[in-house]
Amino acid sequence: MFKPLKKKTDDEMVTIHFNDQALQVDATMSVAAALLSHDIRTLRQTLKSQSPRGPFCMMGACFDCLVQIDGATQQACMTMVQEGLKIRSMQQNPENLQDEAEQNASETSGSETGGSGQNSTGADT
Amino acid sequence: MIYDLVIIGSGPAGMSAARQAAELGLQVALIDEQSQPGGQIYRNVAKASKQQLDILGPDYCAGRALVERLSHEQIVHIAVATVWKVQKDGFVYYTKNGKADFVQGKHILLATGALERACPVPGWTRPGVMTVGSAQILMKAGGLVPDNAILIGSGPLLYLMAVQMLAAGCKPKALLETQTFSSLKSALPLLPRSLAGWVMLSKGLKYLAKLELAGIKRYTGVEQISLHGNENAKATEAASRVQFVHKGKRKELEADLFLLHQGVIPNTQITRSLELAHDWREDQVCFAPQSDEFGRTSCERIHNAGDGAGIGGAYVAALSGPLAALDIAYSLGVISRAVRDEKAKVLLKKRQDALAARPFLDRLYTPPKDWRLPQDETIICRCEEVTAGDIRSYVALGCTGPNQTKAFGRSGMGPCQGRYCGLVVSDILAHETGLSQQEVGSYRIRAPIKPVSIGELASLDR
Ligand code: FES
Repeated sequence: MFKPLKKKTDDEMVTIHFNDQALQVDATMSVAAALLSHDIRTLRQTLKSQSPRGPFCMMGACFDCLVQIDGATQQACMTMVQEGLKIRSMQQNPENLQDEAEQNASETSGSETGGSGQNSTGADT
Repeated sequence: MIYDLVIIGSGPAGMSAARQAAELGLQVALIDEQSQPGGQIYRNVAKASKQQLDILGPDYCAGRALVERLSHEQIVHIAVATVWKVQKDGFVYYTKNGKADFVQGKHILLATGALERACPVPGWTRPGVMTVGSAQILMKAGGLVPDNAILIGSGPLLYLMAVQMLAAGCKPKALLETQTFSSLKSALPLLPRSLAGWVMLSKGLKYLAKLELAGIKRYTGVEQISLHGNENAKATEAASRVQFVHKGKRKELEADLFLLHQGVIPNTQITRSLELAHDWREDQVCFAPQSDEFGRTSCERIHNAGDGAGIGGAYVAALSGPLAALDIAYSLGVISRAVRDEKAKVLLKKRQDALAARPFLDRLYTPPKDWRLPQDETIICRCEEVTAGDIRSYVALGCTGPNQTKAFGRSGMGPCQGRYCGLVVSDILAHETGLSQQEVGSYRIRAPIKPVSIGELASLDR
């Protein structure tokens, strides 16, 4: 579905893992682009109807590309690949993302934020 | 440190404003989500290969000059930074490298550009269905070209995309265009009888001639588009077929990728979150923040320039940026009103000339009714899977405004915060209630406009 403009050499590639599948990808790509280059288009399923979803806008606006990257929920189109990156598709809806985010930010003004260091955004696996 | 000016977004408006402001002696911080300046239109332009530049064409290459002009000692470029909160007092909060941080400006310029208009046709949520803009980004930043793809919708970008795909050796399978002969007839009187009008027209005709020469099938006046998977295959999920009606006949085509486009709309997430005044723009079928010729908004310390203030395109944005910078320098007392007006004169004239072609384009490529008011089964809120029929049923239950639809069925409450469904919901409500879009209004947007985690916020606690 997508063709690379130019074949990259081995030292321009890195290895990433998508659901335990190892993939050789162009080191300059976003995670979403890298997966698309391997014809992987489904990155998650919605909770409500288990409908498959994949990258749609590629500019961080639609949030349909949400995946788990090294344990944290991230937008695949806004994250660059790196050697050894572990990506998992998400079975759960990122439904709570916004609610939690709102709560988090309302706490900023008071600067009352606990420093747990834990990423909270929908990472409930 | 308090910057004189914090600019959000480094597309043509943001970059050109930064340079102008720096030349006038202002200390500027330019914040952007991407690693390279350019915005989506000039995405990755400074790092693009010769091959990419050749394929993407001269309009894309033009962005390089803007990027080069960013190296100025008065400009600090904060890259890979996601802004999630902007305050009227000049504080701008963002996340970078997993840590939240902020900058403070005496003045703020919003240059957050455009979003693609939603394309709510049945099946548009399937994997393998993307936007034309997303394919542009993949060519610019990923070096990937869509292969065996069908382009669907309307607007100049559809043709540009097709021509670029041809240049890259990946001929599009077909173009399904929603504009009709009557859209052309009603737009023609608006064609400017000026040089700008002719330049635009001849460029468009050149593109069409290339498509014709390559033997690409174009279906115009296409209706009732829907996207389907292959129900017999194991992977039923991704779209593999498009069905549509052309000249009264039902048709079906197969492809590996379906790219949708129905023009762009101002990205109003930040202006909405600041509760700035917005107007419904019937000519562009969208809401835009109120702003005057210098980009002044309803808030004294906040300016707005580029497509985010109303769609004008990259060239217009690169004129609006400096105009805003001049006015900001004036309001900070750096230049006099006379100097501002003198320097603004040429820019204003150029912008006026460039905008002359806009009404023609807006009319020709106005989104078709069935994309603005989709049939009941069509999902409009991608995040929460709310359909057009759901919204209509809320109206029957007494729901009158976009914010109420959230309570009825969570539309607009997913992570994208209504970026895609917002306009559609306002349009449906206006149609169902008989009120104007201005009266119906739009979703209330609250910070954070992008998700931020507790872990990231910890760094603010200092
Ligand atoms: S593809 Fe839309 S946010 Fe990543």
